[in-house]
Amino acid sequence: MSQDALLLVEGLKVIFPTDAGIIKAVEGIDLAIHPGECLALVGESGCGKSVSSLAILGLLGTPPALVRAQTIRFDGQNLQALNEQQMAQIRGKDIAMIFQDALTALNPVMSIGRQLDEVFLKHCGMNKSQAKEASIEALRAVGVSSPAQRYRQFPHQLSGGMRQRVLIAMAFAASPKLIIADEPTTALDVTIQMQVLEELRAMQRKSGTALMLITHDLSVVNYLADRILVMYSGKIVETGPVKQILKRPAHPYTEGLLTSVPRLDTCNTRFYQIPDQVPNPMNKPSGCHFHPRCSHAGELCKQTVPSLRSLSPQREVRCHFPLQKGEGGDSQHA
Amino acid sequence: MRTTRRKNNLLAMIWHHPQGQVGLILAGLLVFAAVAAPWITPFDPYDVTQRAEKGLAPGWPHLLGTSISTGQDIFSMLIYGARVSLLVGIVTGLAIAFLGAFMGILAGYGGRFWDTLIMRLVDVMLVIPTLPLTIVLTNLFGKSYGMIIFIFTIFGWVGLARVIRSQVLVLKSSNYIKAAQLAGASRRYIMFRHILPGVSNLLIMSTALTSAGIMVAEAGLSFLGLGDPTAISWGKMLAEAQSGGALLFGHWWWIIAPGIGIFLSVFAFMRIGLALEEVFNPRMKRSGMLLRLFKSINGSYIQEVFDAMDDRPETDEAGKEAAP
Amino acid sequence: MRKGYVLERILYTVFIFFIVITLNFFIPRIGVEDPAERYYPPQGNLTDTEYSIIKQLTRKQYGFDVSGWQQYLRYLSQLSRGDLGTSLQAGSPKVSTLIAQRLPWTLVLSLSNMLISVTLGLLLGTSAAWNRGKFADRALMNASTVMTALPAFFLALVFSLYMGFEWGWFPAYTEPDMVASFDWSWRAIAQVARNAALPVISMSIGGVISYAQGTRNSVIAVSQEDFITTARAKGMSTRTVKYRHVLRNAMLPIVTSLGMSVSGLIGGSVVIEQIFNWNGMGTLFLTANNTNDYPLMMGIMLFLSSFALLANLVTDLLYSLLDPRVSAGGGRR
Repeated sequence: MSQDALLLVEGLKVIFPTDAGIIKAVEGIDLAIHPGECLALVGESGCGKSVSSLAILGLLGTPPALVRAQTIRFDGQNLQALNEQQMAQIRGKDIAMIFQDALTALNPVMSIGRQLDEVFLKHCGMNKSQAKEASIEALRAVGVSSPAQRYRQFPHQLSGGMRQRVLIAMAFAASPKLIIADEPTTALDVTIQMQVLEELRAMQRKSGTALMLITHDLSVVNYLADRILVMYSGKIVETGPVKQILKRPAHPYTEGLLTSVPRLDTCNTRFYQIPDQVPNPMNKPSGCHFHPRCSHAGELCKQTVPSLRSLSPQREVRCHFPLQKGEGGDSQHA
Repeated sequence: MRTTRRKNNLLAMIWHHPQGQVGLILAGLLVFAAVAAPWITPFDPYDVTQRAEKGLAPGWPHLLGTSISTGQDIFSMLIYGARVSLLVGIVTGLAIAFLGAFMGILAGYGGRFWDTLIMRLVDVMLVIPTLPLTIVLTNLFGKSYGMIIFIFTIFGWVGLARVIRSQVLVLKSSNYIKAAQLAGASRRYIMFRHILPGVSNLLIMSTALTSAGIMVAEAGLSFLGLGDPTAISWGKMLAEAQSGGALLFGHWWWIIAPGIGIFLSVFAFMRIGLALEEVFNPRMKRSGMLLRLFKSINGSYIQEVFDAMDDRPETDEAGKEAAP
Repeated sequence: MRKGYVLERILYTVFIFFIVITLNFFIPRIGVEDPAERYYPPQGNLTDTEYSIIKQLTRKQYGFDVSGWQQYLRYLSQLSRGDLGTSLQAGSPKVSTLIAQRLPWTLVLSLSNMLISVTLGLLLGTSAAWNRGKFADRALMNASTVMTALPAFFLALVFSLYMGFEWGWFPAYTEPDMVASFDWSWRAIAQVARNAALPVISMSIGGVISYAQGTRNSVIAVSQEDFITTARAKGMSTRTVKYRHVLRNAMLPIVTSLGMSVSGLIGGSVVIEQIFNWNGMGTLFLTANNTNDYPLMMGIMLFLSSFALLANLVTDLLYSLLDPRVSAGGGRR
């Protein structure tokens, strides 16, 4: 199965040494994305999901971070063996990123148009006027009104939703094979979120680009993704197809996440919250990192870190006492 | 009461900071020198009968020689000079802190009227050239250090007020201020009990740095002869050295000595101010630190940390094989 | 929108200008009942009647004989004709003439200083920022701590002593014939350069360090912003990121400081000029002070203030060109 993966990451680990201690941001995660697939990486803030994506693209500087990975392979190429110049060729062209807060993610003193042009000029071998045309067309394609006018404007002159669309346009510009979207709608108003998400989904379907969606918002996951990876405190705790996991989560954390989503169709008087707080990345609990907050925790959980185990051909879970027993009995590697 | 406790910790915090320690020690020595001048100097530069041969080179008993113009002992003058610098520097620093804080808080929190008024005032003051104005005012009203302190304060509060005002604006939108407003606290109450402590860190830091800057400025003014003509100050020593021919005859000690005095006093207060800044804003990590930290990391320790993250192959209770 | 900003700034500047003029008018009149006493202080050999007649004449000559309001209006109309007053020097030269004579010489020093400080400062600062923690950076931090504690005039004296007197590299006092014999020839220019060397070096050491420090901090701050990560994620080369994205943004605060330092361009070199006996505005002002030449002093003050105002205005407008966020009603503040 991992043979035809577009992006294959195995054993990714990221730490940040500081004089107060070592921050263990990512503790050995594996992921695989196939062409055209949409994979969601889900977790609370601070669980290491953004750091993972930056690490894959080599955007974490070596101070302050230390990155190790067994494999980071994209389209057959070993990304770890590439130097900065070669990575720059891949970034934006084969793998693109969409960041969370479009206001800070865009250069405030450069016009939108120029920032879009940059991608076309560098990766598509166009000249200035071709790039301009392409940029305006790209703006139109993401649903930005009066694109020719917007082309000349600056980020602060656009609304939040429009800025996010610009980021989407920038990502799709060079027709990359994979787009990593880090919380693409979190900074937006709820009403705008839907529009932008639809835009994203439409573009992804149309171009067949693989999408790695990083988010903490489960409704977004439901709308866009095919598979989910749930991350907690630097480790992947559950993987599987979206529909199955959302219906029958296997890991207590996933269950907690689902329960805390407020629902309009039931009449609860209180909102559910997973008790306590996300663990301090410098000082993590022993054994399973989730055990202090887990209502199903047992003695074993305090002592031993559970391994990631298959529940079914398509699902894995990292838990000593998972909530689901898995379909069909014994595990099988696909 | 809360503020005094914090001040005690403040001194401790500066002390523990390596550069802050240097600053404190230096400042302490200078203050000591200034206060104890009449007792620790070998000669009394004010006493005409204690003049010696003019233009002596450093030696014994005149450690830094004597001045060409009057035969005063330079070393003693150096010690006495600390008085003016420290006095003007610290007093002005405090005065500016008060005035600047007052104006800054008033502008930031007192309402549109005060804000506009004060900011316009700031704009006007920034445009007027300070040195020429000081010269004019000392001409009109007499030369004294009191006048200098006054003028420095009148001009100096402007920069601080702006910075304080920005901070106040930030605080204004914070939740606990809004809560206090909702609870019905009067403007004055909020300004004193909430805003003022909120800017106190900034104030303390600025006072140290401002004092340092004032000392430099005072040296310049004394050099131009705008201070009290009867007092000994480092700036004036430099002026006397120049007019007395130290340059011509190569009496470098007469020039270097007051210069070192100025340098040490400014350096001490700057160190204190910068140490305070790092104490209050620990994010401003000094650039060398991170790099040094990385260089000194034990490679095998790091490898251990990474290895510890791997899943261990294990058998669970049901005896099923674990996934790799 | 931009035109509105420009207009607003200009009107505001005019407003402040009037306040400055008024202040300038009042300052010599503060605390004195009879301004004539300033111009002609009492001297022992005059009887009371003689002295009061002299005061009357003095008052008439300097226009103190009319009411305060009238004096003010006269002052305004005088200013509108570009007349900054008449000096008390022998020959009663116009203040504006004297300023015009000395101004270029001060500018020689200030502009050289600014040029050197900004170019070297930028180079050193960016080099320090991009080599964080390494030698260039640490050297800058250390130099910065030391240099801010050493006033420029002290450095001037030290340089004057060594490079001037002891080693004879440059003239320690400005050669007296430099101004009079200036004829735009290469010889004359070389002479000016030689004489200006020590003053400029003394001033620019502090300036270089200051700009270097500012640039370094700005570049580091900008480098950590999100949009730089975006630029890298787009696949922009390190060079492109550094220059087109980082520097372009990091320069903004530097432009602001540059603008602010322009206002001190003329008045800031008083002490240095005095040390080297340089024939500029600084020494003019000091002479005026020593001879109690109030018209000259106040005329220079007004000139300096106006210059500072103008410099601020130009800087604001220039900045709004560079930073598109500004003309939307914001401002450098």
